[in-house]
Amino acid sequence: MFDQLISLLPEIGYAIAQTGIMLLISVTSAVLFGIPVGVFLYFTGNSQLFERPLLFRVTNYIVNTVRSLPFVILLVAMIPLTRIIAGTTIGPVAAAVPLSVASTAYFARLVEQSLREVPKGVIEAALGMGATHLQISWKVLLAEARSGIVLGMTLTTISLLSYSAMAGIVGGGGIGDLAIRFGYYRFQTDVMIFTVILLIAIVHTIQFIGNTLAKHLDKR
Amino acid sequence: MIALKQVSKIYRTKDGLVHAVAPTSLRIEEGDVYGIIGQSGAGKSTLLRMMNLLEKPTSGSVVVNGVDLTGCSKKELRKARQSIGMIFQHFHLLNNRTAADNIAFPLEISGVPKKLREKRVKECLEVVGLEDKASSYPSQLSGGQKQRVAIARALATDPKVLLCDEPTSALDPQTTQSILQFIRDIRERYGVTIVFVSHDMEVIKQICNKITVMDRGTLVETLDLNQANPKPRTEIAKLLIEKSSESPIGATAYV
Repeated sequence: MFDQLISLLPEIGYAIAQTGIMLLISVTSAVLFGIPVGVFLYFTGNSQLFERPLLFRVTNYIVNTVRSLPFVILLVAMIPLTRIIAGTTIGPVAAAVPLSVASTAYFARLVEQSLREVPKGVIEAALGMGATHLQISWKVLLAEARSGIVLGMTLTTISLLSYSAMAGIVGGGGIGDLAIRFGYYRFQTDVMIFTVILLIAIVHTIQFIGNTLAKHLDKR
Repeated sequence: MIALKQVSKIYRTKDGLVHAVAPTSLRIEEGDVYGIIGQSGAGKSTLLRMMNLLEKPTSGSVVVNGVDLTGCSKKELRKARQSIGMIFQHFHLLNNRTAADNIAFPLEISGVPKKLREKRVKECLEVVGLEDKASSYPSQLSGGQKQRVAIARALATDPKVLLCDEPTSALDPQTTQSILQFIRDIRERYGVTIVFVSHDMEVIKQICNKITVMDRGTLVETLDLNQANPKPRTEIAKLLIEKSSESPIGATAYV
């Protein structure tokens, strides 16, 4: 039953690499852009710090809009933008563009939520010591919320893995695409079973790493 | 040292305007241990928080240490705040930092180099007797120890003024006594001007040399405990001061 699987090994390795590229790019974007957007949402919505209702509403609206689109739709709708950014609309790098947009919006919301958990009094104490807003972001908010942010990052990564299964639509490849092409279209049940086991193993590993890291970082 | 001139605070709520503090003037001299006492909701914390502008007054001016906080720029305000320490009822420590790193925090903010920071942190830990807890996290400390870390943190930048917002209200009587003792020591050692807000007369009496009684957003009366046998005149002051006192006022006051 598993003979075909062995002949497919190079294909499988390639798919894992494609998923890896998509995750790497989109997780990096989530960290680079999602954290600042999350902090921005927190500051503009907070009366203690930098309350700007209009800026908050606009950013909030954009984040909600991106998050309200099913990923398949976002993937297709963004094709023109993807062409500008990635120079192509097919392949894992192209698929990483809509993945990055989705992950940034998703992670920004999770970051904002984690920051809200930081007790107001601690922020106040820092303000009373003469801390700047930048110092409060780094040394108080992100430092105090770090374990929640790591868990949010874990959640984002796992969602991205799931989203990346749709990348096949734009020729992005990856593990999910392999499952559909071989396991579903060609009725190769062994490939389907293998990819499912592989995905389960990846998700469990990511969650385990995330939990361990979060626990280690949490001194509260 | 601290001069409030006609400061007031009005909050806008759903049910209309709330006058937390009516226009109030107050002078606190250098070296004073100044108590503000009143019932819950009297506006005493709001008044205290206006002294470092954590609460922005609706009107009036706040001058601390010769700097007009209400009139200066944000940058000048941050600078001025570095010489105003504050401690709180619920400590407000950074939970992901050790005791030593909590004390280092205000020093990091004001850009003190690492070497000096470490030296200063050590000194401050000694002042509050927590040398052995330097690398403990707040979750590993008792309430009294947390407040001592908070005191050390407030002291780190060598402030001229220490604002105390009900610092003993979450602590048991015995721990309260030890915290009061630390505050007294600090006052003696560094000559810091202290403003102490509490609803507990027993506590205020033990540590303050002047008391102001606050009721519904106004200062009702001020008593100088250095004077022989100070007598409260108003009903609310009598209620707060005499009802709670077993020992005569001033007898145990710190002077």
